[in-house]
Amino acid sequence: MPSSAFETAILTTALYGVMLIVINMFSVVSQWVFIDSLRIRLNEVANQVAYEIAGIYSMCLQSKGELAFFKPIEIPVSISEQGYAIELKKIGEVWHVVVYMETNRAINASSPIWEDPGVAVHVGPRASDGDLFTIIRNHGSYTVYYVKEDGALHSGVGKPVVWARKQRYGDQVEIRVGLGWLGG
Amino acid sequence: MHVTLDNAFAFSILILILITIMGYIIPSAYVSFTTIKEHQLEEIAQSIMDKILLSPGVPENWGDIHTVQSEEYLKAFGLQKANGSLYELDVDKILRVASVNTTTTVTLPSTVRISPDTIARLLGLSNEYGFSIRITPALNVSFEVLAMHCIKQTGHDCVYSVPSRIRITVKTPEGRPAIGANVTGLYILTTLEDNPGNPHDPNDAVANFTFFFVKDVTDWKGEAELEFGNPLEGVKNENRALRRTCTSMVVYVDYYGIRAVNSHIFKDYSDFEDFLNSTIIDNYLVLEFDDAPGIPNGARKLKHSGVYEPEVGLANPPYYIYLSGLEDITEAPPGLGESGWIINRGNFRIRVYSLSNIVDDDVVLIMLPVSVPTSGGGRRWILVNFFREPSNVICQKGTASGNIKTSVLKRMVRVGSFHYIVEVRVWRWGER
Repeated sequence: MPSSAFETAILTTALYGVMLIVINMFSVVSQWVFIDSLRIRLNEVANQVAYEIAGIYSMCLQSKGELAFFKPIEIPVSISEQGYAIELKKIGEVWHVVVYMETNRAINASSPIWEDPGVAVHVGPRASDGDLFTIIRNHGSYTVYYVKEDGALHSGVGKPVVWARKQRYGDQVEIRVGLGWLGG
Repeated sequence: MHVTLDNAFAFSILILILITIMGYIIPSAYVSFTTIKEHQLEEIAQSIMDKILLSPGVPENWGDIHTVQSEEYLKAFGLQKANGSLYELDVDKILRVASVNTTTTVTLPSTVRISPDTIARLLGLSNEYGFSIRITPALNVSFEVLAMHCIKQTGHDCVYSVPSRIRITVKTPEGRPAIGANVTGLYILTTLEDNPGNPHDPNDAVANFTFFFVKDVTDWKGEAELEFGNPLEGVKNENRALRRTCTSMVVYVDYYGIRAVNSHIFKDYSDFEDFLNSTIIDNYLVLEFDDAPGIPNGARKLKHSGVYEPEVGLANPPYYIYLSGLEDITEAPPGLGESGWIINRGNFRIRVYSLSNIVDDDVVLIMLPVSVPTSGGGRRWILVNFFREPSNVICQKGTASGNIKTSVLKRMVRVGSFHYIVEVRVWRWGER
């Protein structure tokens, strides 16, 4: 039956076609799920960093005098074996912690810190602050390297920290908070 | 023909696989994602709570309406008292954020109120998250009148009687009885009496605030009975020319270091025709007339005959109340304003009165008797109450209705000398 051979060819091709569509669909859906899982894990990191920044800022506020300190943050070295970066970014008038995959910035998550008040508290170091500051304690000294404005804290860095400094500039007392890493 | 059947069978299997993937694997993955997202909400709530309770905001003393006259001047939000200790909040800041009228707390006029939208904006929450802040006393205190005492008698008939024995029930925030709590009840008897300078005028009267306190310890049920019969007998012996009476009570409870305070007006046992709740900020009493349903907009005279100046009673628990004069500072255009001593809607929706004495941080209740002329030429007497303690302050942006997941955190704080519970509730819009 010539029609049978033709029918077999058509149907088998169609079957392979559907199979291909199913496999592609599976792959796309898996990718979606995977990206969503990455976003959730990035969000976890963003929330944690935002929480630590709010906390360190509150601690700094309670101090009466000038102060500089840091707090180590425990964040994963990688997410799904891939590196990621953390930035403090002003979106509109609100400062956010933005975390994104190094391989694809479109895969990102953010957590709000606060609206920029413009006075009293600032995010990131002053332009004149250099690259680092040192805290000397009885048991040793610590060097904290700033993540500069427009810079990012990369997940591979050894000892990531959030830092806060309360300093007097003339009549004004200014608090600065930011990201950094511990040197040495 | 069998070829078609084979292919149809193969198609069916493929469709089955597809349905399995869509119907089982994806939802099961997303259920765990939702659980993680809910957990992440706790971090957001914790962060918000820290910002609210551990920072004073910018400017630091924004509770002062002279410093921040309206919300547009507020640069950062926090309820901590400027230069205060950890978890010490500023009562004026709390009063400014109240956005919901409750049985005791009256919201401030919108001109000085800090709206939940502004708070959300300053906290960086934008439209993604909703939140509510609720502040209540650290201990739940309830009142029950057990006996009355006659303080004015004509022959054998009692003309005026007031509550004399009051059962106080104290419970922890979890609803358990607070056993062995030290209770101090500050009894405040507000009376209107004949004006000595004009005793025969039925439309003229003077206000008096009489107070005394009694202490007791709660039993195993968390109850204490406070007996005020003896001091009330003293009032009876003074044989005052009474016209109206109202009993209020401020209860101070010390439960192993947790100090809570709660006020109550015994309206059911009062002769005042009506009651009006209003609000206070700094040392300004604020009356907003749209918030007074059932009360006529007519003049509410504070000064009746020129013999005395109007006074308000400020309850400062646990032991005393003090008096203060007040002055109408509502800015009235020339020719349009009423007399300074009249609370009158007139052309103005809001009337503001400045207290001449400083309002102590611990003042929780302020009472101001006023009168309203009736169409028959007489007067109705009204007691205006200003509940200053955060007995139930709510500030919320939106409502977490339905099955929306919320994260709730609670923390004990101090306002003045007393402890309160702050509850912060956060939710993400569109998450179910």
